[in-house]
Amino acid sequence: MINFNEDAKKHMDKYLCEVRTCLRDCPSVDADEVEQNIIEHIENEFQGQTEPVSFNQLDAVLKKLGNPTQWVPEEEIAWWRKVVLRLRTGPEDWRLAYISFGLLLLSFCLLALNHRGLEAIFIFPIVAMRQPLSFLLFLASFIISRATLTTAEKNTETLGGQKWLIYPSLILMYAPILLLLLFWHTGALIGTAESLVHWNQTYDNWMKGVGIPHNSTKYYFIWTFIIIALTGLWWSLLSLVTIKWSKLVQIAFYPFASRFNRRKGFLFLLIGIILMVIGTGFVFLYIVMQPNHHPFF
Amino acid sequence: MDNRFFDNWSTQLRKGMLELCILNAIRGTSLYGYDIVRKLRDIKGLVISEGTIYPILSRLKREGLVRTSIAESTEGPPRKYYELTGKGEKILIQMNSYWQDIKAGTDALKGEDKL
Repeated sequence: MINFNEDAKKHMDKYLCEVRTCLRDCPSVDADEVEQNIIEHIENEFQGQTEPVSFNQLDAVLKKLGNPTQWVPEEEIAWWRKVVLRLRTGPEDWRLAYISFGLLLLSFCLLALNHRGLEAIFIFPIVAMRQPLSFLLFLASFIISRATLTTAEKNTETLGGQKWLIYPSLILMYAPILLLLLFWHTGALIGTAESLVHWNQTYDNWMKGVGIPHNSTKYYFIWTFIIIALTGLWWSLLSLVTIKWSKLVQIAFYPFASRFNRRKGFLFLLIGIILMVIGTGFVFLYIVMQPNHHPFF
Repeated sequence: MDNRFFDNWSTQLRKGMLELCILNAIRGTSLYGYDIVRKLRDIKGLVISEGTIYPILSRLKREGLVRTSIAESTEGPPRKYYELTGKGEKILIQMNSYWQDIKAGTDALKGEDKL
């Protein structure tokens, strides 16, 4: 009985699994018999070896045996089996990429079937959340895309055409999250501004008093710069987090943010400060320059 | 481009020749699968991946051209030996004759003075 080390054993199991997969359902071949022959062939190659067979030694023998996908004539393989074989025995990152893209398409189709076709394209993840199964498929697609990236990285391979298959689900997940992270406050502020007008008479009177009545061009102008200022403030705070934990940004938005570093974080901080200065400065100057400005200023 | 053409052609040629060579290797004797591989691997250009021999053996067995028998081995577990059936013998004679005809014709086309 030939001994194999741990790596060699796994390699052999994987090879035999491929043999079974390729020969299964071939009418002219007895898959079990061929598998047994292969095992005996391998054992004969290492006959007399006392030390456990290493991965490299076994790999040399398996290379001479060749790829099992080439053993069976193509005309004997059913068309669906060819697809399954391609998915099961093809390069791992391509298999995962196909599955990821397939799940994403399925998710789209489910949404389209529920008459949310057009919306689905523009704000996909948000709409998908209203359709649980569709969202689950989309989530699975995203996770498999990340797995594809990790597999390629582990094998030190660069993604070629697979990018077209895995990037859509990544972009559809990252883009809304990023937009939300950067601009969530905008919606909150607009809502606040409208609420203040409707619910706070003192505020409304004060705004009229300083010459900025509600619904006027000046009003929207001022609030735009308030939003800019507060955006700058939020971005400054966010940039401090990214400077401290730049690795988190790289992981969260991998691979698009893989080059994000503290320097870019500082640049982000600078942009935030500039926006804050511009926004605050403009608002302050504008209100101060109003003839009836509030005594607080 | 030239290499690809040659590769395709030689692959097709090997597919047909392997079965003939396997049957000729077994003719008149009883061989263990691994022994068949060892015999054929010495023929230059015939065997690119040794594993192809085993599905061919399985196919030949299903066609009734070869049969197997189990025999005890001093070197390890019992081994499966392959030998030609009567049907296999007849088919092999036909195949060899056919191959001789094609070879003679090809040689004639090639001629002695040409490449």
